[in-house]
Amino acid sequence: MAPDPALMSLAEVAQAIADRRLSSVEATRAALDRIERWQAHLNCFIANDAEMALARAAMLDAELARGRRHGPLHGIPLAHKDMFYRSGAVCTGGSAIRRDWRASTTATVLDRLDSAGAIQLGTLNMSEFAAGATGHNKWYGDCRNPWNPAYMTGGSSSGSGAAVAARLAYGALGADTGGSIRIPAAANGVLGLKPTYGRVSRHGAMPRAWSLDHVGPLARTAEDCALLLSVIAGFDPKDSTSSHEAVPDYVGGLQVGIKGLRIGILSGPDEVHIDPEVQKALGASLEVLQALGAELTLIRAVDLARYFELAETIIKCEAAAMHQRWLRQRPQEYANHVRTRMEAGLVLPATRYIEALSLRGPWLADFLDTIMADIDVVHYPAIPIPVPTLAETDLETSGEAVLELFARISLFMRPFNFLGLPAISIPCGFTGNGLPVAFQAVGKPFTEAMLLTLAHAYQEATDHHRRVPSLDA
Amino acid sequence: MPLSPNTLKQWMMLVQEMDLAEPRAAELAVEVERLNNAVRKASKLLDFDIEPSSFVTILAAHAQRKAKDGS
Repeated sequence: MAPDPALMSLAEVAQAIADRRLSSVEATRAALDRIERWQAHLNCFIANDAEMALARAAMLDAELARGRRHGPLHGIPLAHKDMFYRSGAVCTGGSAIRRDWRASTTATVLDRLDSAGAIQLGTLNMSEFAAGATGHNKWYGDCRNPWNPAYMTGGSSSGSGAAVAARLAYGALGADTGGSIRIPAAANGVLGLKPTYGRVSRHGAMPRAWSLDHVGPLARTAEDCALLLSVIAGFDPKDSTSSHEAVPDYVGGLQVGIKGLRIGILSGPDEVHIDPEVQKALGASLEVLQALGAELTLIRAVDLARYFELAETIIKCEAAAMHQRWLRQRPQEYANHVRTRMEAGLVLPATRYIEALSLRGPWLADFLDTIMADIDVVHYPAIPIPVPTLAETDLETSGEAVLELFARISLFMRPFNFLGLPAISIPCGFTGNGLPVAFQAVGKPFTEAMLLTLAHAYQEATDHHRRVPSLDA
Repeated sequence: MPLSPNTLKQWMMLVQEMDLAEPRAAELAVEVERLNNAVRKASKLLDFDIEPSSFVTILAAHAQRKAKDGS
């Protein structure tokens, strides 16, 4: 029996299509068949358009037959968090307020994926206005974890994490303001890369807090992530914060290996926040990395919590500025926890907001010159606790009691939005109840290639990423 | 002196023309005070000439240093 194309990696299916061993229509049908079986269980799509996806797949197959290959993603079905604008198309941002809103511009990342030959299967569920770390959504229904639907997917790119893990799409875009790519990647057992601030254009991506927003890929393998990043990275004149740094060959660099790579490991106060079962999987990941030739070094204790409140101030002030008109006129069209989390930004002094922004430079310099002075990468947990259930993390019903849980989920995430450093969440095992565990590798500015090389070496030596969730489980 | 819920409620009405229920004003007063104090305390480390754009400059400078010496 021929293998199910949906279970192939993005890189494998891209090669199969390029070699004409598989058509784009076949790959797209395989994804659509899986979506049909899984959507009722996961609720990871807000909208999908099978007809349009198949029509584009047929067009791409015909072009390939004529010798025209658009790019490295020719004929690959993807799906993206419903916050990337496409001119003329509805983009809800996971909100009630924008349920019927149509964009008048197309996000640069979608333009680039289109040009590289990708197909968009549909738009994925997300936290309302990208505000939420769990995957709950009052308006479109909660997104559910494919390893166990009672558990949270993480957010805000909830559908991206769940769809890629369940093999409903070969890859997905997410956006990360305080962990929103890396948390769902970790909770669903896929890779999630938050690039350096400015590496990937934010033009046409719905803002959560523009100073901290990062766009990046979620995929099953490091090679898949490298392929996606190769297409979306690079200067964009439409984004004033876009970097002019040259884009390296992410795919070509994967085989370099990690011999001699200097990895900083945690000691000190942050360790107390890590659950023992998670700590065991993190320890095992370090043993693998060491066996691959990496050099492990204890790093000076750093209290990540100190970045946390500064980032929180920036998020609240920017979100409040964006939303204040709707907060005043249409407050009932926000979930309570989404509305209330922005309110502090309406009254915090402007001086505090500017001071928080101004501290990013000196604190980044300090982090690079002290913590990372003699190392290449820092090894951190992704989510330091076992993945919690949807019920345990429902702010609408549980109220403020779960805020402490949220802070723990985001503790190792938000600081790197504040510092703008690249960070990747890499699956490294499962807890006793079958939910994924991940570690996070944080690099210096614009070292995404090195992070992907590390992830690739780790995945070559392990098989956590090859496990596939089952509807029968 | 702690920020009182009533002061916060009046301030919200004055600057944003938004009314807050008493219980919500009490919660929000705690949150605003926490964030205000956290940033104010941290900002004592700021030099007079530091501005927000220094962050992007440091990211770029580091990338150039990496390209130059491979660090």
